[in-house]
Amino acid sequence: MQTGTIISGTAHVALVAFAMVGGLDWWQDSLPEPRITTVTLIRAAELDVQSSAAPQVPMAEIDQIAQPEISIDSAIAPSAETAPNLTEIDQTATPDAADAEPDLSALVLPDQPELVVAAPTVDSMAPPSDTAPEIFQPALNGNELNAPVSMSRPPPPRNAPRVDATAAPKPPENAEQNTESAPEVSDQPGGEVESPPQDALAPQEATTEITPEGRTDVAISAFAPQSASRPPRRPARLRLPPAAPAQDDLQDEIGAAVQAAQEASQITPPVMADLTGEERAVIGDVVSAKWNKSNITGQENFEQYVVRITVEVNAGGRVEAVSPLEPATPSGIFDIAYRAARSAVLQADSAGGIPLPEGKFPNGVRLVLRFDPASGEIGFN
Amino acid sequence: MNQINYVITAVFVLLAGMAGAQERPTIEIDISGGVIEPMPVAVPDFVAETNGARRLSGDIASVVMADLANTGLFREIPGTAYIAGVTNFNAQPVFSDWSVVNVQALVTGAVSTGNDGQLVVKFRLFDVFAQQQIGEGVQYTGTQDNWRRMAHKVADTIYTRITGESGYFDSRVVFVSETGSKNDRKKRLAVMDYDGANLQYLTDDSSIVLAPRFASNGRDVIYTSYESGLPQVFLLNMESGRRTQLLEDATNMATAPRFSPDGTKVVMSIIEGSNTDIYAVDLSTRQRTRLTNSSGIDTTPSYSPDGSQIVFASDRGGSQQLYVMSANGGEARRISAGGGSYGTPVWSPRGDMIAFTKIRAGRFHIGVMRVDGSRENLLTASFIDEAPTWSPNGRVLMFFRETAGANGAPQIYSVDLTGRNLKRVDTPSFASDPDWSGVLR
Repeated sequence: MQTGTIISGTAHVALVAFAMVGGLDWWQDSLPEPRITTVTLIRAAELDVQSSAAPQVPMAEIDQIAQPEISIDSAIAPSAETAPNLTEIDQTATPDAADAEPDLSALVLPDQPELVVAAPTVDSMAPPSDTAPEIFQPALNGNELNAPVSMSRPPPPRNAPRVDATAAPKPPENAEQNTESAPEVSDQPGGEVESPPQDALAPQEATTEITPEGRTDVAISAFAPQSASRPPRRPARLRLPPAAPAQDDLQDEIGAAVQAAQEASQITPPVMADLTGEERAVIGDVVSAKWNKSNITGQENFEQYVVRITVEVNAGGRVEAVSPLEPATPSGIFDIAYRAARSAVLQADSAGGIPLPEGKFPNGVRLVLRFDPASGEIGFN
Repeated sequence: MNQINYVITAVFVLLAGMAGAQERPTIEIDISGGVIEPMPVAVPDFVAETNGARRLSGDIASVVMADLANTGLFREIPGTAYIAGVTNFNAQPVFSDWSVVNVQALVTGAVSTGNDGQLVVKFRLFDVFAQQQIGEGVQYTGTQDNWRRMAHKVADTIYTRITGESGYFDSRVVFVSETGSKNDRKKRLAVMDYDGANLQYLTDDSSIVLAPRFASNGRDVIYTSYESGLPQVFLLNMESGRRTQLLEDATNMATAPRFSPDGTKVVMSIIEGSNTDIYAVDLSTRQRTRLTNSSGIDTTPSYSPDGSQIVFASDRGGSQQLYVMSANGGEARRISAGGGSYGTPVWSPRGDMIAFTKIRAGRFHIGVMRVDGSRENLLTASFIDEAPTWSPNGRVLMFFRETAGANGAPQIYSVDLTGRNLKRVDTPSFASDPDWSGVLR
């Protein structure tokens, strides 16, 4: 009895002592040591910053400077250096009229993008080309992945199909001749061979929908379709194959475990649900409201920093994971853009989650969000 | 055997779960719009790891936060909103405490002093909602007197990690400090940190000085002085205080000097008779080379960052417009095409844009255009806005604005390249003609 008390007391004392000497800090989630970047801030060029007195100018050296021969009376007023601007104030009372016409001949206009307009082929007898039009490729700089589509030069229009006037190739020597006889064509009245009467091929109900223009007694809406046909169902995804038949006890247990796992996870048939335009807009608005573009729009050519991210969202609309999709490993400004996108999603999650339609995605949804900093921009004034 | 069963079951449950996840439909949505607003940032006081560092723990955090907020890209979450502070630099923050007050970026730091008096400042940056550290922790060391520069370094690193652009907080501005009435204005050169701190005067007010410009080494300044009665260009080494007149020939007036990017030359305007042309002066030989030869006034030249071209203002076409020519002179092409007149062009450190002063309909504007003259964008409008200068990263412009009237006086302002975030830079007196240095080393 006493032995147990002694052991317990000793253990408790040791634990308290351990805690007092900071042993519990071992459990704390400590961060790695910072990278040490020693910056030598001591430099002679510090200008005696701590004292606000003006430095002593070596007057002896100034005396060595040749003095100007022109007297101070003839000196130009000090404002001469900025005079052009000041004098312009008065002159610019009617500034535009006073300005001389710009010498446009001396003006070098910025390089205009080369317009490539594929002229229609004049030679209408040329055979239609099946080759794909040549696509303009902008200069590669490593960011093409996210280049806006408008960077591509529009492909030239294909030649319109025309009647091929070239002679048909001669048939091969061993070609079989068609033995079916066609009725002779005669230019004499009554010379044609009458064809047997044919039943109308068009369905009867289709003919009733042809309404003469002059018919006004029936409302047009009466012919409008009442409902759209259902789109064809997508093919169901492959289910997990059933467990192989057990060959021994271990395999029996594996099979049972698989079955139990399937039941536990309640694998449901593939959900082919999609979002309506309105539902997409609601989600887009929630994320967009948290998307801070201030660190992106100040970048040069910020339009190119388009990122796509994958967001795993559970059925309750809570974000489970965010990962970059395009670029897969963002770096540089793309990393800035990715972090802004990720932050928007995480803030939206923190503010209540992603507004998924209730009950529509029992397994959650994988959202691929595309953040285009140029969309919604009014433009550079 | 039972353990094996448990393992097998667990594996298959995991696989089944993954299979279930794969059953999710994939739906793609385009996100458009977005918002442009400052990012909420929290910079709690740095942890003082030694008693000697206690007085600086709050000051450093304040400078870091002020730097970030000055950009207009970040918004401070005040300390009164914090649920919890940071007491252990090496502990993982409780992100939920910060996300609930909408902090998106959290900066934690620590400061300590060593036995040798050296100050050690270290920090970490966190994405609160992603619950991740952004980059590694970084530690800086230096003298205690330089704690502001160390704070600027911390802010520069944070700015770079969040925006992808280089920072500009650890930089200085040389300008003309002005005192006295408008009719009797005293002017002298001064230099300060970009945020107005650490002001120091470089000359006295015995003569008028104009247009100081930094060399790329950050030690030399070139400026125009009227101490001899005529405008002449002087070189000043800020380390030694040594000052020399650039050209011995004092009979010709020289104005608007600016260093070449490599610091070996100075380009400037020299007035000979009634003609003003642009010259380049070799600093080692003091030999000058004439770059323009027109009957108009060619002035305020500025090199491109690679030193191959020069932009300048000239009235050779009738009104004052902007022209670009080779750094060796030769034919110049006009790039400004809008109405009004243009002056004080400055090439961006990025090389893609030119800032300028524009006068139109009696109003002054600070504007930017591409180097070919396209996409002109006016950022400001005022009675007088003049003399833009670029931040080291080419994202911000500083200029001076003078108010109208008998009591009108100049003050230095800054504005973002997009025209947002117009701010006045605090100076103890009136101030004009700013020039921004590069980032200090």
